Amino acid sequence: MTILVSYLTKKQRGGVARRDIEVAPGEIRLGRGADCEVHLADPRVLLHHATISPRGGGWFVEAQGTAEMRVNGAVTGASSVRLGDRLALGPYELQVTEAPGHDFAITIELAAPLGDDLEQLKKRSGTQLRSAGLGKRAWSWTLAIVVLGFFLALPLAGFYAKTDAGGQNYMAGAERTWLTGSDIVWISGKIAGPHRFFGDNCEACHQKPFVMVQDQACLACHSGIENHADPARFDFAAFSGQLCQSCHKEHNASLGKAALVSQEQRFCADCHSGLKARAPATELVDVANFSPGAHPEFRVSVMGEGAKIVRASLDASPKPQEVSGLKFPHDKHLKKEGIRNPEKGMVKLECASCHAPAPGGIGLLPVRMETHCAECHSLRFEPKALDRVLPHAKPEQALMVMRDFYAGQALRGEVTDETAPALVRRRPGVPFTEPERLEALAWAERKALEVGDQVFGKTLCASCHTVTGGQGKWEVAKVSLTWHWMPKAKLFPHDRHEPVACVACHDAEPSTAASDVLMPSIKTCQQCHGGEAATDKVPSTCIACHEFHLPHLSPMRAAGGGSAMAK
Amino acid sequence: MNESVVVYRGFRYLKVATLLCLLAIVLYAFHTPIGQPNGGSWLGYGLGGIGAAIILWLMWFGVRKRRYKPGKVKLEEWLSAHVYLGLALIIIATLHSGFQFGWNVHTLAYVLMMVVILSGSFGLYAYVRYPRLMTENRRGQTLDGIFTQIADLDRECRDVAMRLGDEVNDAVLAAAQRTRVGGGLVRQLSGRNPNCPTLAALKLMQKLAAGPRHDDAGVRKLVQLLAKKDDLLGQARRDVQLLAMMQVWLFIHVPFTFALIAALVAHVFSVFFYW
Repeated sequence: MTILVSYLTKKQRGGVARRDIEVAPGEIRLGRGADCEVHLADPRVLLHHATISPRGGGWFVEAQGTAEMRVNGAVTGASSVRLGDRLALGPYELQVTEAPGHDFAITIELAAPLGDDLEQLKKRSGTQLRSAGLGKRAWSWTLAIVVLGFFLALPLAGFYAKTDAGGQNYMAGAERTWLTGSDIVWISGKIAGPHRFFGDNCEACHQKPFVMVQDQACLACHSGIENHADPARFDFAAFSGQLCQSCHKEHNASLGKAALVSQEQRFCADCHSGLKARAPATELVDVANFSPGAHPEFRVSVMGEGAKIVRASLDASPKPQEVSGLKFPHDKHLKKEGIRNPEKGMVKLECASCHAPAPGGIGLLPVRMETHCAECHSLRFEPKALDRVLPHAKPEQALMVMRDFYAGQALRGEVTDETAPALVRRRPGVPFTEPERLEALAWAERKALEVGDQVFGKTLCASCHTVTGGQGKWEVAKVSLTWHWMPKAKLFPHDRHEPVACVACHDAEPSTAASDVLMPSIKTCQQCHGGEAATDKVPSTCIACHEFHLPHLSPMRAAGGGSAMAK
Repeated sequence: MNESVVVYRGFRYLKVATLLCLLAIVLYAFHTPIGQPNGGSWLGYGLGGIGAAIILWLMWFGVRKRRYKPGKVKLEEWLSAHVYLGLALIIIATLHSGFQFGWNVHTLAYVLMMVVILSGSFGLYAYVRYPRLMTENRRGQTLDGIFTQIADLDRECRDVAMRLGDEVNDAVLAAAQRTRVGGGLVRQLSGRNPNCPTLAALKLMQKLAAGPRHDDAGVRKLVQLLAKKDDLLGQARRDVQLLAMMQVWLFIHVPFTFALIAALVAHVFSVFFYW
């Protein structure tokens, strides 16, 4: 008896080809190897895949080594073989059947052909980016929608979420939320420092959509901001058609400079370098910049005759003189060897002995008689009574003090003055008759007026003041000091110039009269300061000393409307 | 498309773009707005308007190139102008910004624009350089032709291996069934397929051929066949890589263009909304 092995091959055009061989009974090897009794020509089969052998009257199949085998669908390494069994070896299916004239038959069919190598290679490989999951359309939509969502829709929704039906922005000042605060992505540059405290409140300034920031928004805080020129005299002074923001550019400090107030030279010089042509009524002198020759000499506003302020250039001839009503020789007080103090002997005075900086460092405190002068210029009027001092700046009271003093002396007696009547010079304790008392008092009155004439007209008051009249009717000239020498400039920041000696600018040491104007010439400033383009000086533009909105003028814009300010 | 886009009509659009940039630079140099230069001065609005117009016009190229009907202007000319005006945007938009940047929609639009321009620049480089490299690499073949050769070699290898041991046969089978060319984005762009079964099979055969089975004609044959296949694989992978490089920038260029348009709309809208 033999075993019939039938190979079935599917034809391309349908139908099945069959090839039969007979195998001698005994051990039957199945595999790819040429020496196998049952040859399975497929690389997925091992050289020697399995063995079928007779055992105990039946047949037994055993897989070789790691070879994979299924018997009736179950993975197994070894199994008995019965008629009707189905074996799977790699891609082959084997059916065990009855065969007349044979022990049994094995029908072999290649159930899983290898397939087309080229097709499979192409299938496995990815040669196009489209196949790698990349796409343009989906990403385009996604990115565009994300950007529009976060940078347009969300801030817009936030804006209208804080606007009521009437369009009024009632949320101004309310706590920002993720929605109402999302317009932060629209910010176009850093906010200037002074505005930052309400800076996250866009609608504080941007009050109406698609409308430029209007002046009302600024005036909510800056309500009194003054004109640049007198609108009554100059038609351009209203700067009509210009908004605050035409000059003051907010969100523009990204480069670290305070851009809100323009420091630029041309901002002023564009008009002021030829002002007469634009404003024929002006009294201002043309200025181009701060370099020598481009800025006129300083014109000081000095207290003149009759306390009227006179404005004159420092280089005018005759020189401007201050009529303050005072006498004060700076030279005597600033002598190198010092000046005699009645109590301390020789004392060396410095500028700071009298001129103290005002708190804040901008101006100087006024000089006071009591604080600065009285230590030397004491108002004692009687050498025998050093504890008696005349009150300053009160002539009537001074006369009363003197009357009281001499009346007391006269009534008490023992006056040593040889010109006084004997009655007054008598020993104390001797009683008076009424006529004697009147005579003594008459002497006291004469004495007071006489000493007064001396004190007011010569020794005390007159050393500093101009005094006219006499015999109890003294007129001390009114003291009128210049307070702001250059009112068209900002107050001079003395503190920032501290390292420079006072006399480097104020030529006080040779000054013999109080009427000397000790304001420095522009040439003094120009030793250090130059125009905007200066390379060897401190570049200084107009704004360093001048203001655009002049404090003495009327408000530039009428404030109105509700406060837009928040917080 | 190749170098001709760059040199089109004696650099006509390079000249146009350069002129535009020079004009912008000169105006910017002499422009003295109050405060810092910024997008809100007359020059800022002007440069912004020109920049936006150029962006929209450049986008139109995407529409134009999809039209198969030839227009009055050759596509080549369009592309040349697209390239040079796109590059000019770097200067125009930067001057428009006045060099003021921040964390906001305005700088976002600027950054997106720069991404589009840079990816486009790479695209230009790829279009000028890679076609030649591809031609050199293909050595007169097509990718399909290379694949056919590989498949033929696979069959041949299998036939040889059929008679050889299971270890050899398995390796050859794996080389035939699991070798890939390209694949995902990284595989395509890198031109490498690590752990390639063909290389592993080749190394095994080389080891065997150098060792105990040096006289086995089948193994020696397999060394030859697999080495040739490995060569072909390298060639195919390089081809896929070059093709991917020529395409990949567009997957940035196009989506970011749409993101840019969205940001541009938000930029212009917000600037005038909060004027």
